[in-house]
Amino acid sequence: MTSSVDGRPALLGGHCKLCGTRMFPKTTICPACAGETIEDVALPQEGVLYSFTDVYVGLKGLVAPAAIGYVDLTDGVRIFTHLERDGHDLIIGQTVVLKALDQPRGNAEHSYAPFVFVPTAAIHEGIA
Amino acid sequence: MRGVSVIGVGTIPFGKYPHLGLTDLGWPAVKAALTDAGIDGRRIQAGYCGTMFGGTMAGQRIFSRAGISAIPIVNVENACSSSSTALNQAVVAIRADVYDIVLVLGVEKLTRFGGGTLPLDEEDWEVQQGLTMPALYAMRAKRYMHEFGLTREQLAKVSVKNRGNGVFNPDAQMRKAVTAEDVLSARMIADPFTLLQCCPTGDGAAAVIVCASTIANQFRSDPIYIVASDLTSGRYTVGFRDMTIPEITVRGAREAYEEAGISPDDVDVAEVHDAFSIAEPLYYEAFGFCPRGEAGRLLDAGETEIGGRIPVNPSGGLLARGHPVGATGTAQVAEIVRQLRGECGARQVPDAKVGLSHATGGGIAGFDHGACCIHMFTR
Repeated sequence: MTSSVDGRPALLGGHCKLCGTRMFPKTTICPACAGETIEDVALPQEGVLYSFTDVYVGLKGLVAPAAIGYVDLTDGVRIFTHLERDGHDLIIGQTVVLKALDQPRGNAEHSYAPFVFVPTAAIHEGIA
Repeated sequence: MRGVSVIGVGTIPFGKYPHLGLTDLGWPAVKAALTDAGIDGRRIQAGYCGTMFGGTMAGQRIFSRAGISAIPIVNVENACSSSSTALNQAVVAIRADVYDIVLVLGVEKLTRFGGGTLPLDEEDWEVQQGLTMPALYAMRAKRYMHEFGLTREQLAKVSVKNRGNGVFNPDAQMRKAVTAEDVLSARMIADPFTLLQCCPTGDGAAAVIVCASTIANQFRSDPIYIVASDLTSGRYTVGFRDMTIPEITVRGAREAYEEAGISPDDVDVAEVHDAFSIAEPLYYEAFGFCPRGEAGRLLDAGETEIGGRIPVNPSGGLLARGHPVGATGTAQVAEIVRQLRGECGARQVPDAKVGLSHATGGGIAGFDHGACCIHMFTR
């Protein structure tokens, strides 16, 4: 799922060798041109939060409410992702950044991919 | 191409029937539709049964109880559009001269799952990551509120209106009126939706009998003419998608208006797919009942209430009638047919001559929705 770009973790998506379409997650066939040669590509770590919601019912294995949303990465790929605030507000239209986790989210029964997106400000704070 | 008319509708009150199997939910609706049409079941030439979770051979199991067997029977699964798709297939077959008289049923038993959000297909990445239908609609709502300034109070008006209409619908699962305060203070499901902004799960069945318009008067003096039957699927995208525009419904509505040869101004009554409160205002815009971004104003002005300029969901919609997924499409059709016949009593839209029904659904990654089926009717 993740690789590394400039020492920072990145998500691995798919890149169609035939038509150039990028997608996440990587599929076995390109939805744009039906090409079957899909290469791994490291996706940008940053994107813009298109919309999100705090879910109180139905997200098993997580403490409610849990935030989920759609992020439009800088290369145009849209990702459905879990979100964390890390002490900041989530606001539609803000820049968010990938944060890799050591282990899958959730619990033994219900687990989710080991990454979230967080407000960019939260990461900058971490570096400072 | 031959015209198609509705000559019979039959419904059971939507609700929770944990003690009943799918068959016993379904046959009373079939029998009621046969009675409504004044037709002998042996004259039915084909049957289409729409259900999402009803299992294999639902149509054969149910129709045979009502004395209908040894004819072509097709079972249709298209998520929330299952039974409206079944009706579309019946219309296509009659128009093509394949059959003259066809039975269509929508049936679903959701109490088999207990409660909570509907199970979605685990092959889908977004579903694996925890996406549910309320969360998906909630993100549409948040984005629409962000772009157009729709308020939580305006959004709550959808539930207040539809629950209010449900009081007068004996088939509705929810028959108690609620206030805006009730809606806003109910427990949160997915922000901004509280429980009262989410359609209830339950069981239900609704049947429709259609025939070639040329013979409709043999059965009823007041057949309802189907002037458009439009089925489409979502357009798949991998990148940006504007969640404030229900793409599949915008396209379907345009096709249906063209097929019917009518415009939004001609519509007297509409049953649209209000699975969650935000859905209804989005569909006001998709059907051209108001310009883009003005759905909140429409709600404030009460224009979609019974007695307003364009009443929407006089049955109570999915929010009050309930949403036993596969049964919804034909239940909407039954409501529009009864409205055009003038049979709706306290929830009757005065002098309704033109109506439409709209069922869309199927949460799949990369789509606005998986399927959308729209019908338009005149008396």
